[in-house]
Amino acid sequence: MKNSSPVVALAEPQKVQIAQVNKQLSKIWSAKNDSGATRASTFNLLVFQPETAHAEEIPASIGAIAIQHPCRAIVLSAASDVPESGLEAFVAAYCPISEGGAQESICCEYVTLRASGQALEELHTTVSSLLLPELETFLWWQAPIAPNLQLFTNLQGIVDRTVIDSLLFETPDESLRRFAEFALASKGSNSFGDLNWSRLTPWREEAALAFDSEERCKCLGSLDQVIIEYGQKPNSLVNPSQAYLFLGWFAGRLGWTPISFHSKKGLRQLIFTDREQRPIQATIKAVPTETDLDARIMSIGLSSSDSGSDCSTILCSEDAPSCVRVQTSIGEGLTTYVTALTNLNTEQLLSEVLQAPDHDVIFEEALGVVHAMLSLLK
Amino acid sequence: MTSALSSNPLREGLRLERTPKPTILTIFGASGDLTERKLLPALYDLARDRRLPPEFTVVGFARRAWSQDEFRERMREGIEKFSRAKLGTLWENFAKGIYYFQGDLEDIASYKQLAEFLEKLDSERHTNGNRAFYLATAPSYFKPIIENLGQAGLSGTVQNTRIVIEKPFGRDLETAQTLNKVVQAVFEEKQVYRIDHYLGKETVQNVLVFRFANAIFEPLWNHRYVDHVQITVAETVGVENRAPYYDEAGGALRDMIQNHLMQLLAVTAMEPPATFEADTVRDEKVKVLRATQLAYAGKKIQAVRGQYQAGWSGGEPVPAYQDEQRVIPGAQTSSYIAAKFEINNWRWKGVPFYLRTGKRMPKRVSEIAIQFRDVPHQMFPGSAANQVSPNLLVMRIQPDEGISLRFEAKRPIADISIRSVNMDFRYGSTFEVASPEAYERLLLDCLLGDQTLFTRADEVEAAWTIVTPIVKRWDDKSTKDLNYYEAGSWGPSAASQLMDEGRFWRRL
Repeated sequence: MKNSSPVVALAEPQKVQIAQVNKQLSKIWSAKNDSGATRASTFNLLVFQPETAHAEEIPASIGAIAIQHPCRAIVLSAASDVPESGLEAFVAAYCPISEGGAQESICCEYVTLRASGQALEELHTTVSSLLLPELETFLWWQAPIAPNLQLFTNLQGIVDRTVIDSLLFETPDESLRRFAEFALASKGSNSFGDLNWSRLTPWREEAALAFDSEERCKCLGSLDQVIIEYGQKPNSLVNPSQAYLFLGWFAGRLGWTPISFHSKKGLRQLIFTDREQRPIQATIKAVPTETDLDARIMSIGLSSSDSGSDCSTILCSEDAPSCVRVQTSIGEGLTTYVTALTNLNTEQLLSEVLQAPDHDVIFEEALGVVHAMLSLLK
Repeated sequence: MTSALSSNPLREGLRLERTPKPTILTIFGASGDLTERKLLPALYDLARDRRLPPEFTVVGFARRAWSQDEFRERMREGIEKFSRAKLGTLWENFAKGIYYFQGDLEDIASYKQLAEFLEKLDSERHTNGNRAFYLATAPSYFKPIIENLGQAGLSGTVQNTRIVIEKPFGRDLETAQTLNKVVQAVFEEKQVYRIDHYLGKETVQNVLVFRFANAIFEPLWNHRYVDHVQITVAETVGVENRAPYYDEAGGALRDMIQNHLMQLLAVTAMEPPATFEADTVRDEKVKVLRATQLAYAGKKIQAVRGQYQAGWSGGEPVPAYQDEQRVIPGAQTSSYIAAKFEINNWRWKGVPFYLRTGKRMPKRVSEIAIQFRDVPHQMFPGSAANQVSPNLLVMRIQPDEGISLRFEAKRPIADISIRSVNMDFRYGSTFEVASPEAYERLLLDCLLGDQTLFTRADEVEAAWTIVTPIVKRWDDKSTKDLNYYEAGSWGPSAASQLMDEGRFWRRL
């Protein structure tokens, strides 16, 4: 195992027959009985990864999660080097290393399943037999959905919560619509999360803060123009998912309904109507960037063309990606301030999602609007 | 035509579902330690977490001839040292909302000028006349500040003005009652926020959640199952630079027992309130405090006081209390107090509550330990190796915040052999986010108008009533019962006499 993971091996990964996975894990634990390591699991964590070269390597991100949440982690990966419709299994046990460098006594177990072809599509039956009973099962889908849609769909039957990252989508319009469909259809049974939605939290908080005062809150009712800019690195794919989610959230909160959607390369133009059938124009634009803001929101402009209201709010990345300048104006009164953006890494975002309540109704509301928006593209 | 929205719909589902109104917070005693070490760092952290409106403004009021820039620079240094967040790009913006006002706490003219200054800031900072006044001064200034605020027309209304008063609130029951009258002559009770920063600690609030959000503990939380309760607040530090205040206050009784430890006792022993709202929670705390009294053995009060002598702390020699800087020579100030209390109500009759606090203890630790009764019948074969210990539930307030439950388990060998094991919940490792500082929570609550974690007038008076017998005895200079203990020890041995047979102070 490479040192990239913050874990220490209690037993090195061993290749086993599927039927022997549980037996082999029990063997490892009984052999290490006197090491002070305690086997613990608070949930089953399924992690789907695109092709990995090193089956024996425990990804650093999973090790980081294990420090906080002891679990049985089952890593599922598409592997082209496995014979067609074949399946390989590896088992291992690891103890996370805490910040101080000490080995924790609560240790976790990892099963890696590498498959291809039909075996990959039908992997859910194998996974099902490896889940610890009576514990919640989370699926962390670390890849675009489309290439492995069948497996994604099949796994929904055995998991309680699915976490994706729409920042990884290669065809965001189609994938986000499909994901929204899944999430909305399964209301009440499985729940869904998107790390990209969690990344939006500081933007949502900032937008909320800009309209907290009574005077500015009134402005919300008169907004009719939204411009969202997101970053696009040269030669990278266009991914406006984060902008869609923000717009979906904002529109959902204000009761806006999308009625038209036009898309051309990096430019998306939408028309919404509010509860009083007033039209609202929304524009989502890709802006060239060389920074880490690829596919991330760079600025949000909210304004009203009603001369009686005369309100506008601009939120834009000042010192990308760590801070944002907020400018709000009502009539002649202008307030400008700079505020910090908290950027969490993937592990922190996942951990936050794992601790969140099962159903995030605001996220579901935003997804509903996004789904309606993207359906207009068909 | 546009539609008006009554509340911000964007707030729903976010961590904080409401933020305070744009407000000017005026801190009296702004040149003191509290402002630099606690208040401004807490406000900065709140601003960084987007919990304050952008118009939020701070005015430091003190006598010193500082310029705006000097005051800002001092606050910047304090924030750099003491805030949770690193000083970053946000500082420049935050600093724009910090002002200094030079004035005399006892001169009405200063307050009239302050009123004009605040009005001017209102129009510049769009704070709409919303005010909070924070009394971070020596207690002797509370009365003139409050009266001057009243006379200068700054008492405002329940909707737009609040006053925060630091501890200690009075020196005894009589002075607390007098001060309450002074406050209530100017402000309505709903405007008054008497601060006890212990109530702002996440782990103290967690005591309430632990008790009232879990069904399995509350049935055991009474005299049938609980043998006794120990509440400890131990500090490793000595009196440091607080000697003048500490001597004047008379030491740990007024500094710790009457406020912090009584609050811990109240949250541990109170009945479940019907709702988690300011007055329902405080009603229950008042009820339990009114049922609490100091224990007596015959006519002798069950309280022991001590003062530290020279010793070792943290591997270094430390001076005796009497040799600390600015201590009044020969002061009989107690740096340690242990006392036994009883709660005369249906739930707690016969369960002693032992409270202790001290400076220059071997460890910094604050905890509430609930020791349960022994099992009614010992069915396992008795032997020295098979002593069954009673269950113990410990709620650690600081450091290592968390909860541990000690219970008995069979050792994995053939015979019946029993050993105590601990089940541990650690706050820090379970919830990855750092807990906010107590002052963050309390300042935010005050700005939001939530009084739940602040003490009400009758609550303060009830706490003073409990300690009145000790106050009377120890304020009498002829009382010669001050014990001495070595710095770095767990206090005077006389404290062990408070414990009834078979009970011991916990070794922490």
